[in-house]
Amino acid sequence: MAEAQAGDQAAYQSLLTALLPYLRAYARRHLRGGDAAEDLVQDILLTLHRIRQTYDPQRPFLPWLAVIAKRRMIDALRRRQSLPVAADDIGFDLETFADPAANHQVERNSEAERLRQAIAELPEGQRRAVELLKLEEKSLKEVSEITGMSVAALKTTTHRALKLLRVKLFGPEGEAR
Amino acid sequence: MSDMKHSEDLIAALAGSAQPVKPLRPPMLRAMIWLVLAIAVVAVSVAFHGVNDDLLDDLLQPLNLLEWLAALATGIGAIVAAFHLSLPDRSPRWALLALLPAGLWLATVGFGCLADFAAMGRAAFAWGEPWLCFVYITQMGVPLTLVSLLMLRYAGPIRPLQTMVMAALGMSGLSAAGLTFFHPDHTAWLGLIWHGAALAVVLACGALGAALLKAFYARRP
Repeated sequence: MAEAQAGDQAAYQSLLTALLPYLRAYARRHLRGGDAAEDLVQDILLTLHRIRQTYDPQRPFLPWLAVIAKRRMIDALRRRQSLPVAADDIGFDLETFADPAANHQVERNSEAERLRQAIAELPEGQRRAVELLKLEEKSLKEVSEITGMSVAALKTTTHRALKLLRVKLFGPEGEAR
Repeated sequence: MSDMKHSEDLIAALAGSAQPVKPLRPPMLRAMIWLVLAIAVVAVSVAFHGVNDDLLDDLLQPLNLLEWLAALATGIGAIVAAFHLSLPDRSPRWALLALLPAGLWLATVGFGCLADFAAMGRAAFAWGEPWLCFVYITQMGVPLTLVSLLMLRYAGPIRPLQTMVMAALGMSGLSAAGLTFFHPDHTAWLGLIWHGAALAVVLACGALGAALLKAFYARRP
């Protein structure tokens, strides 16, 4: 990076190219959509470029990069939260197939679809908590940093969300499960 | 979002256009330079207003001295913290350098309110309008906060709000410390209200600056 700061374009290109797989893996871990993850990678690269003066060659490079990546990821998640839900839901065709195994697969897909739908219908805060904690399997601390909610509030929100999901999926008696 | 179809294309474009850049000087050095300039501006304004005749008597009272030192320490600590927070690889704990003296500052003013109440009774909470406190702190704090926006601009994509709030707190602390030299006579309660109102205006200005920085970096070149 110090060479890049000095204007060595080849060294800069090598550095950014070497970082690319790691940045892609990082982005895909936090953002599920392919385009969104690639947008985040580009955002991190652009930010790194625009504030490369702030890198101190006497200090390690990776902590500097890690904070840039983390802050851009948090902003990307915030932007996604403020966007309307993408209209990419595809209606589910209720058909039976000659091959019995294929019907079981359809059954499983149908249950997954019901669960997805139920999660999507949760209130915004509860949906976010379930997606981050249960689907993306992030820790309470990470989700607390992303959403700005306290760990205690996250636990309560998730508990309420799961209770509501049981009711949605299994009816009023589902709450007792 | 971008016309770039692949991140590889973006890397080639960034590397191809990369000009040499000079790494920033250490944040402590930059903070000290800015502190010297800001304190000089406050000192000139104090000289312009003139110093109270009973300044020495005021400062010889332990509570007044502690309040002045806490305001000054908040100003210095917040500016040092802002320059560190504006860099990606510095700990967010630098904020404590300002928050601890700020807590002490608030505590001394609060204690002053109680002391006034003990001495004056309900008159300690009588209404008044020491506009000079409000006008002076905002008059000094707002422009100095806006100037610090230039020096702290790289915080835009990292911690814009924390950085600019610290910068604004720093300028408020220095202005309040300067105000002590020609302070109008009023109760601690009125000081709390009017200094607090001025602090809120300067902090709002810092938050606005943070939003501007964030918006600037949100644009793609």
